[in-house]
Amino acid sequence: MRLAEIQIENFRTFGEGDAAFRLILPAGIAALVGENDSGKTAIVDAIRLVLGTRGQDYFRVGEADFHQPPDGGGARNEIRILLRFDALSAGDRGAFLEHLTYLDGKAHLFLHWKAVAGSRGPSRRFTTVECRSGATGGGPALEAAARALLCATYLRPLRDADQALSAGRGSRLAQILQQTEEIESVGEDFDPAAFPEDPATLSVLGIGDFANELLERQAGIGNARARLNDDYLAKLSFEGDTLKGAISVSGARGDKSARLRQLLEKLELDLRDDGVVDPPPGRGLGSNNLLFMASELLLLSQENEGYPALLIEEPEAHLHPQRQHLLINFLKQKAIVDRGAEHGLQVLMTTHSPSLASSLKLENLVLVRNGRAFPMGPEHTLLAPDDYAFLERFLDATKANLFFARGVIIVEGDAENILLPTLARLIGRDLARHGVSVVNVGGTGLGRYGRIFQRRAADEQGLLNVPVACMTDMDVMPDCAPAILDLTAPDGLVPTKSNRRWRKKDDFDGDGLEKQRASIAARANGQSVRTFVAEWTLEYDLAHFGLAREVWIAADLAIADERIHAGRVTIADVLRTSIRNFRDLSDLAPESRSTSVYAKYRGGASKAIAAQYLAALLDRAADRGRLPPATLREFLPPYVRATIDYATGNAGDAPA
Amino acid sequence: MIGVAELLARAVSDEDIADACASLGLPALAFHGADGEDARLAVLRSNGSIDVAACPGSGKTTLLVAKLAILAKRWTSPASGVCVLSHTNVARLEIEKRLGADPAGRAILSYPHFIGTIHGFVNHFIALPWLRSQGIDVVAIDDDICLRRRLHKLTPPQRSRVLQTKRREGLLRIVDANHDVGDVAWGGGPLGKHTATYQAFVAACQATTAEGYFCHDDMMIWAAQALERNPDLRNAVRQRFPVLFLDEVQDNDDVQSAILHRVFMEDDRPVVRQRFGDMNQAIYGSASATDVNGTNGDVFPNAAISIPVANSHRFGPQIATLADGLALSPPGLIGLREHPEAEQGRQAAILLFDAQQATDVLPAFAHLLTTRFSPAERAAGVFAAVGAIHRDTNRPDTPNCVAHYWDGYDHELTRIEGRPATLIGYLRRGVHDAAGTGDVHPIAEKAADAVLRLATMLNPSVRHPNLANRFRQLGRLLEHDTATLRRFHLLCSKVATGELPTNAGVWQTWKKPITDIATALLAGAAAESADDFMAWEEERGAVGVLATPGNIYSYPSMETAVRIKVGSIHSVKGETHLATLVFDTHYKGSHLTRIKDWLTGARSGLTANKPELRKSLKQHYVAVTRPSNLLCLAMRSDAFTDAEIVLLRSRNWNVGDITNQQIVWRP
Repeated sequence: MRLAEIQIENFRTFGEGDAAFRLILPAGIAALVGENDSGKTAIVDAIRLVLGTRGQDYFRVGEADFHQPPDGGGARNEIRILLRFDALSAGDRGAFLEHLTYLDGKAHLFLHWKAVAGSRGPSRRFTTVECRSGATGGGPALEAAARALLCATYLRPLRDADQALSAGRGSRLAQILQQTEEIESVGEDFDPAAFPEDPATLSVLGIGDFANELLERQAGIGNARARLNDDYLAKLSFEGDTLKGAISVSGARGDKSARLRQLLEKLELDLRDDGVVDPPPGRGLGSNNLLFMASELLLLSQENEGYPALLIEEPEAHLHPQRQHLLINFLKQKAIVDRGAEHGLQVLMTTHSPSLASSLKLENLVLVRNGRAFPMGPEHTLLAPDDYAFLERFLDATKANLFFARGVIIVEGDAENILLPTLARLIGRDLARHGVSVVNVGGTGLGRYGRIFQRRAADEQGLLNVPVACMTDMDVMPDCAPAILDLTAPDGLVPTKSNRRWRKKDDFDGDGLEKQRASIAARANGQSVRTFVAEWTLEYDLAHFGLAREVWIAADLAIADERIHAGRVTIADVLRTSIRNFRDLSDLAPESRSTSVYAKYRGGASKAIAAQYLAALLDRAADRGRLPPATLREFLPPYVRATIDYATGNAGDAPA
Repeated sequence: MIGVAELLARAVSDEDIADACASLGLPALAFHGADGEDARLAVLRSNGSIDVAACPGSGKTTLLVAKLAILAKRWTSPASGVCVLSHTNVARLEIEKRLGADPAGRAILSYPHFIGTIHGFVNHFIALPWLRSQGIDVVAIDDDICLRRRLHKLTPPQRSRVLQTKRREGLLRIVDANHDVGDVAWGGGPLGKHTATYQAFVAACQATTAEGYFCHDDMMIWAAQALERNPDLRNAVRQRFPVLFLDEVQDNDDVQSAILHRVFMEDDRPVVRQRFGDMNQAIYGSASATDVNGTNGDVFPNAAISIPVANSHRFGPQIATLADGLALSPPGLIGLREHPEAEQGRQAAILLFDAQQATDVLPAFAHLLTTRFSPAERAAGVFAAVGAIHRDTNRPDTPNCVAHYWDGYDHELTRIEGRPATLIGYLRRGVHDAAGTGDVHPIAEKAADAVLRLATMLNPSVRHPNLANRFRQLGRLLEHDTATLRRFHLLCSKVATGELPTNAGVWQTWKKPITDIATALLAGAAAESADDFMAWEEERGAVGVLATPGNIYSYPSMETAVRIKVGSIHSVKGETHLATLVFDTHYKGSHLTRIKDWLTGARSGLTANKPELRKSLKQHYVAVTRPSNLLCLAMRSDAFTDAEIVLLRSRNWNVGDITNQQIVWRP
């Protein structure tokens, strides 16, 4: 049995009608990713309300859970949550027989949960809750015992693992152990009439009962009782009505499960390294968290009946990235591989961890944004099957940042990656403050990353309203460039088109160049994804539109970088020489000059290192007031300006 | 947690049986019998499929309840349960009452288990989920409402033609999932299926289905469709209910037997099924001539797994022997009741009367009772006088029906369990249900039910959602009409405080306010009249230990010493009486004369295919196995020859003649 669909209305941030929340869940693991306040926890809580949870997390609807429409107006008074399950096993179909809905020859279970706020004045609020089955909620109410079969395991965020695993009344460990079959099935119960020959053959409860019996028979206790009776009570009793005291172990007469619980509550769980006999107490929070999750999973794995579901909020809490990765792989094994669709464990987690997000397949992710869910499975995005294969290989923890961003800039090189945050900040569009991530995809796959944000059914289900700006080069050089870059043949002529891999502007007739530009932009365009194309390359463009001198100097500094760090030359020396040489370019036509600046990067200057120097140069100029934002803005290539403006355009983050 | 299979594999120990007896308040050896080898023990110990052929008075329900108590105690599966099916909700109430005191036993009354009627089961688990899956919101399963609604869909001329036929709106019952209404007798001959009129009938039925209105028998059709379209469904049922108990199997009709067989037994992996019944008492259900209840060859009882329980604690050996002689297949009845020595041999009598003196029979029987039973016994026990035919069939023979023996007999009164015909009847039922408890709830529930029903009658096309709790439903419908809701509350409170009208005059003043409430539910839609439903109806009495109202004969009329319940044999099925009088009645000949040879012992058992004879034997087998202490048959003096009288007496029948409302015993 598998939770396939969730619909939520009027619950917290989710409204009703068009503003209702709807999510088709991927099989196995679903990780809800997205920025804070996007509604991830509300989704988990909605499921908890309908299914209920094990353990002692009672959760009821509160006044604040009723949706308050953003356009004013009073709070709504009816929360509606719909859960649809499919892939029901034979056992599930039997257990929920009277509640099933048959669609396309398959059995589904729909649960319509409703909480209605009634009000009799401000001091007497009450909420009525009902849960009915059937596609439209016309079925019978779900019995408490049937609902118990659906009960989920819920691990709250920042859970206090220490508390849950230590001994004491109501400890979670005791509950988990009590559900563990071996606790009851292994060993014999204690028979008061027959003293056990080998106490090791006793069951857990047997040992407890045996110990209680020994305590009650113990000589010292016997003596104390005798003294109490003989020396005191006997003397306080009337003739013929002797008072007698008996000493017994508290709770030793309770029923079986109560006795067992008391016994198990004495146990606590901590971690030991193999071979260390007497370890120092207190592992870190993270390790204990892992231990806690392991014990919950143990309990869950023993359930044969009903719907094994695990709701985890932020499993990454206190875990370092490698352990996050280990945990995810373990859950994947448990959820999907070990059990199969009908019996599989279903895991629903919320996370803010790019490491964790990148450990999962893209189709297991659900991006939550502004109260809407955007599952990443192939039926939901414009990504092609080979895109999924590609992204599974290359979408790493660094790139997975994009799932949490309010705006994304996808770039193809280190230089862009390094420079853009500085450029944006210096023109008053700080990327960090706008929640914009720059993702460097290297040389390939720009379009594939863009398509992550393009929805298959955008018209019906809405756009994924994250501006994604892709920056890319235009691999067409100015007509003057071949000569400057020494790409001409020995005879000084430009080789014929078919004999070279590069293109220059006059290779294109009429509006051919613009068409070429448009076709590059079209590789990743549509919905909230835009591609911005350079004149030629970033360095050329920067030089060409106003920062020629800075780009030139940065190249020289990059070339001298090793010597500067080795102390063989000073930055000031390099600067002086560089500025002097730059003057030699002053007579050149603009395109030739820009090409000459760019030539330094073809001739040995590292683009990444130069970018660092350039960022520093611009920072310093701005610090000294020589480069006010408006001025720099004028100097920036149009495509850089457009990229930054577009990606940071969600400043107000208007609702979708 | 152990699976159901393991749970059933565990043998039932003596301790389990003793525990069950204790929790039900029975003696520890209640099921052991004198020799500790009673067949009931075998029934309790069996965890496999069995057929229990249980004779009258064998304590079948007690046995079933004990089995449930044993199962309940060991049941651990949270998602699979026990299914107990019977024909009436009375059986469910009885089981609830007996198991209710035991906490472990109580568990079997709710999820994941099911105890109820076959119809209830088929609806709840198969037909309703399937209909809901088609997007049909089921509003009502109610023959009256559904047929009325179908009728309403026809044109006025069609409507009046339908009402002129013998079946009236019953014509509009569907026979298959295409909404075909079967063969329709129409004027001179059958109505052609291609005719516009016939198609209008089909369309009317289709429309009510789409709107969510159904007759009870429709549900069997939709259940069959559900099973057909979802091959997995029956496995799900078997998964959910790996154990099935069927009570009163002899009363299953062919449709019910077929669907239960298909769901639980057909093909691979049938469930564990334990059937309880007595084919000798099959007076309802299957009309099939062979009486084997044998759809799909699934005969009850299946000899290979049959456990006959032939000893009865109800009556003694005399009645047992005589009753055994009337059984279609004599089970070898053993009567375990012990009578004091002075009473022995006095448990069965044939009372002979002159055809003109039929009305003397009842007083004579009543007088006999005053001589045979102490006032205390008379106050505690039930006396009954029954006949195969209870209402006048206008045949020439007299007396031909119960009514001919007592002119005070009113056959209308027998509809005690049915739905009241009038609104005042609903309110009285509410008062009756609430009797003594001080609870207003039963009254409010019946009043709401009545008002909603009235609304449906005023305009059958207005839809109301169907909630189990009628009071709450009414509250919801009137959520925004507090004035009307308050008027309804006032109605309930007046009924609850004993102001229910006792005569037609006062009732007249109640009609309008009640009709106004119902009209408010129509939301402005046109209202027809519902005069029949709103009419005044005289209240009929209910007395003494006979808690249900009905036909009670009191003797003597002043200073009553004996009350006798009078009715049909069908009406006393399953009951135990202190004494029972069986009237001879006529339908295609005298019933008792027809089975004369079985009374005299000249013949025994019957395998021949003679429907009327088989029916008579079964009915009278039921009748003669009711009494614990005294059985009397009333027959005309000319029914027997002298030689037959000798035979009767040799079989231990006492014979008496009725004169002047007294019995003169033949020496």
